[in-house]
Amino acid sequence: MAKKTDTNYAELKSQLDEILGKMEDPQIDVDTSVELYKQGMETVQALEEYLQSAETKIKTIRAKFNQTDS
Amino acid sequence: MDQTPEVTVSEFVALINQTFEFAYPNIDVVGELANLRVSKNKWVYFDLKDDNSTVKFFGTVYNLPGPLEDGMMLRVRGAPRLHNLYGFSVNVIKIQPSGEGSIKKAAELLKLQLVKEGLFDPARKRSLIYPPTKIGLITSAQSAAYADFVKILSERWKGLSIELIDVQVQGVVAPDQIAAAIEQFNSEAKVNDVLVIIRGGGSAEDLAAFNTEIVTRAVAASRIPTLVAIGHEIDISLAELAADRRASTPSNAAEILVPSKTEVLQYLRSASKRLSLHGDAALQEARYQIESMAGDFTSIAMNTIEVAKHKNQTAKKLLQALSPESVLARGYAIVSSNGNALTSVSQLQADDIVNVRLSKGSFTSTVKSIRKGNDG
Repeated sequence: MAKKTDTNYAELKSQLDEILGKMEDPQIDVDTSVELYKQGMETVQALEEYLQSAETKIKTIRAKFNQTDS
Repeated sequence: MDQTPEVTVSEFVALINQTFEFAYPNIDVVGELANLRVSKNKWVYFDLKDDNSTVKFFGTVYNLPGPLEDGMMLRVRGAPRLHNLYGFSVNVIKIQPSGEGSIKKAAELLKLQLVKEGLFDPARKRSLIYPPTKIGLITSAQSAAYADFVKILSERWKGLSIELIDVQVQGVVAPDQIAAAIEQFNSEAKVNDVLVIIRGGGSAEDLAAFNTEIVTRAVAASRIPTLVAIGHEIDISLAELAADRRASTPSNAAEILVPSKTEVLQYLRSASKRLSLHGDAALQEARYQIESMAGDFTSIAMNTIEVAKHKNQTAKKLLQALSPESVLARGYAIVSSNGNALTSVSQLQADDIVNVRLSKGSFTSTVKSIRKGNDG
């Protein structure tokens, strides 16, 4: 069920929100909870990487702009 | 022998009319208008009178120079005639107001009517092509106004083509000629950019043609924009009111029509100086503004990412807090029976075997006694 493919920020975020929502359910049993926790952490990791690459993209574009500005 | 001619009645009428035609084919009669009557919007009947006499006149609405009122002095060109049934009258050829008072009165009456029709409405006025290349001029070629106008025009601006229609600008035939000239310019295949109608100063009688209905309507109806400059009077003629633009004198007309080439050249010289001075400064300013905007964009973009990162970290903390591991690490235990985690003692009885899982490791345990909780 873990999606680690190239999705966009919105999809990853909504995935994380869904997992958190399920984990907050008092009816949930322990094993499911553990599984969800694992998926959740994987999604957090994916988001961290995604945001980092976005930051890098911006820095690259900015640098390019400064270069072409003569 | 008796030399007196003898004729029948009809022969008499014919004879008299022949005599009139021979002696007075046309005659101008000046008198006071009385008993004006228009019938079927076509036939016009009126009397001209003076202190001692009254004569009947008969004509059509096409003879009218504009609205008229009893009491006005008129000059009527007509042909005397003895009608075979209705007696003597004068057939009208042309009607004009006579004398300053009547001329002004006629203009007033006409103005009222045309204002009602909306002929002088500012919304109708078109702007003139500036500068024009082809000018249609209607004036008297012999006049000083014409000479002045052309001279000033060519001093101010080059490359103009001026097409002149020479007309009478006063007198009986003037209104028809002026109106015909306007129509002729309008019917050309390659029309002029503007029609200019000018005449110099004069008495009310001299300028009367430009207060007639036929000329005023012709100016208003012109599809080519019009500039009219009549006399130097403070009173503005009706033709000027109907025009798209008015000038007070021929020189003023030339000033309105075209720019002065010396002024234009001066302006261009100073403008080009200012441009080169400020050109560099403007460029620098523009560059600076773009740089700032680029900086702003970067900050906004980075900020958005920061916020998202922060949310992510918050979600991570929540995830961890909700995880079973962190709950256990705080000293909680998971008690399960038959593989199922227990949440209520109602699922237990004494001597049951349960499995207890701690943060680190697990053990089995036997239930000794049960205490119901607050909501058990």
